[in-house]
Amino acid sequence: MNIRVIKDFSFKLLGYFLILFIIAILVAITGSIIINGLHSITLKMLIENGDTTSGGIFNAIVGTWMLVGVGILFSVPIGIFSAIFIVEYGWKRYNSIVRVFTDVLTSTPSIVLGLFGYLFLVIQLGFGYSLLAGGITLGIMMLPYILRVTEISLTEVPTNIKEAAISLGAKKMDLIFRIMLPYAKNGIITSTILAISIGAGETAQLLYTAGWNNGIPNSLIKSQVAYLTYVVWAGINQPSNYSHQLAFASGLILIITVFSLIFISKYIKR
Amino acid sequence: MSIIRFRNYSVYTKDRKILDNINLEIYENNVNTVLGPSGSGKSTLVRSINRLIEITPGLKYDGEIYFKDKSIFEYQPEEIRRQIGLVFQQPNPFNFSIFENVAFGPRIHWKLKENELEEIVKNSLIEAALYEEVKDNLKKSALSLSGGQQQRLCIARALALKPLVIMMDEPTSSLDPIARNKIEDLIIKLKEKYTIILITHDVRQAARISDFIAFIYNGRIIEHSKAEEILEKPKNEITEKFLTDRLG
Repeated sequence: MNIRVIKDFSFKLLGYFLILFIIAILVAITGSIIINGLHSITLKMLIENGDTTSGGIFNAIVGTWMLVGVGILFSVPIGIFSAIFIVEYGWKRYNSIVRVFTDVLTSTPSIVLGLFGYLFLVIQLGFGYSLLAGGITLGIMMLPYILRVTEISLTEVPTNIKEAAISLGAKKMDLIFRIMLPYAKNGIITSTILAISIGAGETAQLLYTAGWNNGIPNSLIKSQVAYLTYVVWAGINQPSNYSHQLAFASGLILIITVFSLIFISKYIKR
Repeated sequence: MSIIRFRNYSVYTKDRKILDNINLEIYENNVNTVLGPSGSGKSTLVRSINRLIEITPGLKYDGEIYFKDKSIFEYQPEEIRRQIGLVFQQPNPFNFSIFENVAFGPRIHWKLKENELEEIVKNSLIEAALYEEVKDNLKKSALSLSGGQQQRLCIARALALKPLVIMMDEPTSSLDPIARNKIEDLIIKLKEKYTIILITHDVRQAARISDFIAFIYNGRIIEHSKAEEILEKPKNEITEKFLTDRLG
C-alpha cells in the first residue's frame, strides 16, 4: 500500500477518535450533572429559600436572574452605543484601541474582574456586597461580547440599503435608529442571550461582589445576593448529603438555563 | 427649461478622472437619458446630483451643479435628496412592510398624522402603478414582492417625498421584459409631473422612452441632443460606433 494512503487513513482515524473523545467528555459532564441533578432535585427546593445546607434554592435562582438583569441593563446600552460609535463615527486609530481593550477584557480572568469589582464597587463606591456590585461586575464581563457582535451586525447592514435610506434624505440618526438597528436586531438579541448565559454561569467574580443572602435582597446596594453557582461551589464542600443534592440541583438548573438560552439564540439567528 | 445644469463638473480619484468637465442640461418634464457603456461614469453622474458621492470615500470633485438655479452645495444634502429621488439598479426595498417602505421618507421629513401618511402612501403607490397589486397586503413584507414590484415600490418610495426630479440608475437591468415594459410605461407617464433622469446602457430602451439623450463615454459627454437626432444622425463617430454596435 502507498505510504500516502496510509498517512491519509491514519490521520482520518485520529480525527474521528479525537471528535469521539470530545463528545464523550461533553456527554460525561452534562450526563452526570443531569442524572445527579434529576435524582437530587425536588419541587420543594425550587420554591423555598435556603442557605446551601438546608432549605431550597429559590433565593439563589431569583438572585441569579437579578444579577444577570443588572448586568444586562449595564452592558447592553453601553455595548450598543459603543458599537454604533465605532461603526458610524469612529476613526480607525480609536477603533483599534477599543478592539484591543475589548479583547483584553474578554480574556481577563473572571477572578481578576471580581477583584476589581470588590476594590472599586464594593469598597471604594461603598456598594457593599450587593446586586449593583455583582451585577455591574457581570456587566463588565458581558460588555465585550455585546459590543463585538453588535458591531459585526451593524457592519453587515448592506450598503445598498444604507444608500437607499440616505437617498431618501435620512440623516445619520434616522439611518442608525430606523434602518441599522432594526437590521442588526437579531444579532443584538443573540448576543444579549449569549451574554445572559455566560453571566448566569459565572462564579469567581461574584464571590467578591455579591456575597450570599438566605433570602431575596431588598435593595440594590448593601444587601447581599444569593446565586446558583455559589450553591454549587459551597454545597459540594459541605459534608452533608443534602448540601450535595442542593449543589446538583443548582447545576441542573444552570445547565438547563444555559442550554435553552443557546438554543433560543440559535433559533433567532436563523 | 432646464432644472439641473452641470458646469465644468469633474469627479476624480487619486489616479483617474471618473467625470471629466461635464456640461449638461437636464430639461424639466422630459425623460433625460444618459446613455453609455458600463464604466463610463453614468452612475457617478446621478450620484453627484443627490450628493451621494460626498459620502463615498476617496472621491474628489470640482465645478458646479445647479438645481433650480442654485448650487446644490448651498442646499442641505437631505433637502436635495428629498427633491431629487434616486431609484437604484438593484431594487433595494427595506426589510419592512410595503406600507413602511413608502412611509419611511415622509416620516423622517415631516410631522404627519397617521391618516395623512396613509394618504401619501396610497397616492404614491397609485402613481407608481403598484397600488392595485398590493392594496390588500400593505402590511406584508416588501421582500415578498417580485423584482419588478419591488422596483416600482422603490419608485413609490421616492414619489412619496413629492420630489421634482426622479433619477433612475438602470432601473430595469435586473428585470424580465414584462416587468421592464411596465417600468418604461410608468416612466413615460411620470414625466408629465416629474423630470426624469434615466441612466441606461440599453440603446433600444433609450430609443423607446427618451426625449433627450446625452451620450457619455470615458467620463465625457460626447454628444447631447434630442433623442431622434442623436439616434438617427449622431455627429460623433464614437457615438455612431456605440449605437451601431449595440443595435447590431
